[in-house]
Amino acid sequence: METEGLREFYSAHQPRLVGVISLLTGSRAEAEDIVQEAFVRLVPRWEKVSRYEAPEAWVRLVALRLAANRHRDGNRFTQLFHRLPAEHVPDPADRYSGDLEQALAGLPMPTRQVVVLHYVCDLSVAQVADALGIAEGTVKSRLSRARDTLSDSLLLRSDDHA
Amino acid sequence: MPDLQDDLQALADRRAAESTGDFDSVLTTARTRKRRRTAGLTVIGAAAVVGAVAIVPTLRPAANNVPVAESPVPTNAVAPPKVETIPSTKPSPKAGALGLKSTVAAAGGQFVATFPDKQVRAATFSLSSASKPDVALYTLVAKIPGDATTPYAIRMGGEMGIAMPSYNGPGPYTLAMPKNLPAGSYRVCTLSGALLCGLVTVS
Repeated sequence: METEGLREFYSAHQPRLVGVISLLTGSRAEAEDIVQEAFVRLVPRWEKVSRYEAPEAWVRLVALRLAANRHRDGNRFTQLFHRLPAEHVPDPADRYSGDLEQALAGLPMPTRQVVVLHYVCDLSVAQVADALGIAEGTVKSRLSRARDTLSDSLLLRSDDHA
Repeated sequence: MPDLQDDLQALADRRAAESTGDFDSVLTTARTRKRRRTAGLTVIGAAAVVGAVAIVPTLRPAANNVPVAESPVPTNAVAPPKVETIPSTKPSPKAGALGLKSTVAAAGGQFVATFPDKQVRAATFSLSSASKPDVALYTLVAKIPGDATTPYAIRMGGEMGIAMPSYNGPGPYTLAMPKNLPAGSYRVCTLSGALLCGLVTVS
């Protein structure tokens, strides 16, 4: 196995991927766990994935799905026991809890995925639709709803600064 | 919406800058999982081999339809015909010579048999064709002193239920040939004691 190549790839993409996934999870620690898991899954497939045009897209998609799975499982757990609060609670260890992040956390996970891929990973609508396996129209509608929600938080923040 | 994009990018960059990663732990975790997977497959493979070894004798047809001990599979319900090796005829013991005073007798006629060994025997004899000595045709009851009904012949398979006299003596015995007995050579043998036989020709 080409460990050195994989190590360089990890060093180059792991931090950025943690940043992207943390926007989905709302927690940097959880994002680090998810990204770590995605890279663990990459190790036995590195020989094949490294020949892809964009290996980082493979890891990002794995991490994205892991985050969605955790979110879904977490929701099930919450609904089952009714003990954990349904709304997002920022991790105090993250030391960052801005209006934008709170607004992002208020979006449904599918919408958050679309927003992150489009605005943070710079994927086009078509690429987002392809990556998530959904129609472009769905991507557009989710982006539209997300913009409405997030722009409110931006306006609020602007008002605060003003 | 450049503001939104810039803000999201900045947020992601900030989180990225705070992130810590450990590539060695990624490698270690991946290799541990591979070992576990290999060990799991080994265990499954071993279990499959053990299962196959246990199943093969169970599925193998049991010899002579003998049930396999604690076998979950029932043996063939249709039992094959039981084959026994039974000799069709009991090998005839070597017979001694029965003394016959007359080797020729007419059907219904009488003849006298003696025992050269002077041994005491029952007053009953068997009569069979000389060509088929193993198939008894008649039981001959010799003349018994004081019994006017004797001597007589009892057809084998025909006159069943006739009591046999339990007289014993060293001989000689007077025997009567059955009436209507076809002419031919017949074999007369003792039915008790050492076997003695002799040939009588019916004219």
